[in-house]
Amino acid sequence: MSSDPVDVLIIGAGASAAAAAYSLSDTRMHIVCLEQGDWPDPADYPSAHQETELRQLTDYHINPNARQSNADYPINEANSPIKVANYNGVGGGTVLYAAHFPRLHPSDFRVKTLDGMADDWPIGYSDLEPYYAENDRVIGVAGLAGDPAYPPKEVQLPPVPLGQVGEKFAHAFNKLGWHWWPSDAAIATAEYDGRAPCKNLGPCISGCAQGAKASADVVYWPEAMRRGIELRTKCRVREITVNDEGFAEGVIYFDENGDEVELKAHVVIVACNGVGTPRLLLNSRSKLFPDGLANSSGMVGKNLMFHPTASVKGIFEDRLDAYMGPNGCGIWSKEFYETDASRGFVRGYTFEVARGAGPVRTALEWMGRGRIEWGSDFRTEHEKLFDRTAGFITICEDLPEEHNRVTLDPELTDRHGIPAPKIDYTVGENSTRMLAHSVDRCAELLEAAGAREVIRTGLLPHAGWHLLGTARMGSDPATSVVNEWGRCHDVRNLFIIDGSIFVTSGGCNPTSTIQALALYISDQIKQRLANLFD
Amino acid sequence: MMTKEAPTSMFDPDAVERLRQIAELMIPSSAQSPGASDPAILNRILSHLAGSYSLVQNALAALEAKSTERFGTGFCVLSEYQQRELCPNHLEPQFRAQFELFAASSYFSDARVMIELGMQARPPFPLGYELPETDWALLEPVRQRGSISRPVD
Repeated sequence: MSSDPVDVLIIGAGASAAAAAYSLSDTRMHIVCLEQGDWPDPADYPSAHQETELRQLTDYHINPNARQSNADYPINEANSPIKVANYNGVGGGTVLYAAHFPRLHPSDFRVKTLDGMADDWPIGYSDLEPYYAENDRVIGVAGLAGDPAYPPKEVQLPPVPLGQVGEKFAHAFNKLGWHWWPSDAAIATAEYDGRAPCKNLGPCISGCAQGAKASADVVYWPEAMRRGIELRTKCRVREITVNDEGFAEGVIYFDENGDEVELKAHVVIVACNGVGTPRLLLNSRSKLFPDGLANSSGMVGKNLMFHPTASVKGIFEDRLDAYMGPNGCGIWSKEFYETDASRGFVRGYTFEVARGAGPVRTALEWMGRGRIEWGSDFRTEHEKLFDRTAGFITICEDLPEEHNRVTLDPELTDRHGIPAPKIDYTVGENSTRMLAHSVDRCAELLEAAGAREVIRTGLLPHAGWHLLGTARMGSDPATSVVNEWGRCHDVRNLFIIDGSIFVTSGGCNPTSTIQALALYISDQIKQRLANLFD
Repeated sequence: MMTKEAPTSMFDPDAVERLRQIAELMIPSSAQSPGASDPAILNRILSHLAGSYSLVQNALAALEAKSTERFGTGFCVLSEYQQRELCPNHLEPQFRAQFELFAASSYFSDARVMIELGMQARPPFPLGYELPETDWALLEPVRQRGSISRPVD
């Protein structure tokens, strides 16, 4: 089956696709988006159910190999100490993200120049600043202006309340003389643009039943669709096809019934995240592109960056109300964000307060550590830990290394028979030193906060939330996949707008930057419409 | 403290009894608190385990075999001391993980247990929770220190 070409075809409906659809909708072009998953149902989210934590650990597990929903594709991640966290559906990863919403810092775009490592981005903070601001206005960012770690920026809403946990840690930061600031959060702390305010439900990372979290299904997509964008769900793209001139011609996808459909387009935009995008490009082989589409540089799939993340927890004497409030948002600290050579590594990391777990996760975690055992002391030991445990995670900058990569698994396929991605990844030496440094600093903080015991977990395995770098941006077609405005060097009507175009990762959560990039690239497309393919 | 709800499930009575006793070994009941073998809680555990029917049956069969090999009799008639020699360390690992997940969830989502823990016996949504307003004067030392943004030009 084929049809008339659409003007723009967007593949994926997550953070970047939603922002691009919204931005491009004012062109009145015929724009179709294909999403392999479905619309999420807020009534189904864990926080709306009595067995909240069980649903978090099963149907809403952050790892697709554990979740195994119809929308998911398997990932061979046996050769990676960090496992992928994603969500396949409208809204993409934002459905399960913590809504932590930092921008990259100006220095993140100049890593080569400043620190002699990796590469500079071909664009800078000032290029993206207007798009960060536009994205923030649409999202409605909660925070507090004046963070000394950043250039001046506005926020739209009051910060997320710190609660007992946050206040305890704020005092600890002050005691040590370290920077801290209320996190920028994509959470409506007051009514914003029709969204109801946050009620401190807790588990933002398994969907916000209240609708206060600015996931892309809630924020961008409804407006984009009102403006005429067509979003087709349960449609999994098998490959991007090309014509004899080397232009993207369209896609072949499987619809809801499993039937193959051909859809032609004048412009194709890929927005499938740092694993899904290289998978699709590598699956789109042809006579003209035998090594995968847009891959003359050989860089498709290479330089995967995850943000190695460490966790350190403190056990306190008193109850903390730690399961209340956005569990990933509260405080961040940029004390060790910028390079200081005396630390033994370059670049840096962000501390983020992690509020505590509910009773089920407390039981499971501490049974796993042997601190809670079956038998008559179960409840007594549980009560010593439940709601008395909180800590930090540290988001460490991951430098690009070509051997960290996404390829196609020779055997594993999804339910449509499409080859699945395989990940080969090791934590680099610089990151390892940074992780160790961050764990020690967390321990200092927790001791300053009065913890009676500090538990150092180190690298978190299920923390591959940030999928970056596998189709990097750059000016040189020999070493990058897309140019400085997101167009593939090799295919002049093919754009990539997701986290795979990051040149370096920064040391903080990427969604704000992913969406700012999508708005920036969309704006470039609109400005260049007359000669887009030159 | 126990409810009088009778367990009903797709498992046969022998399997239910074994699972009940395993649940009691994990979180025993006391005069003040229900254990994981409380009928209402056990029913939820059984309901969850029904999705892993074969895994459960195989694990129970293996447990029964281990009990016979070690003590010459079935698991359910062992003393608590003997049962604890087998549980949890000799349970099939995959079954043990599933059982602990479902038992912990069923137990800690029980209204009586939640209230004992000082929680409200309900899911987070729709009522949510109140958190106190934060006094942002806490930030004064950070403000006084000034910019830590790294210059790039």
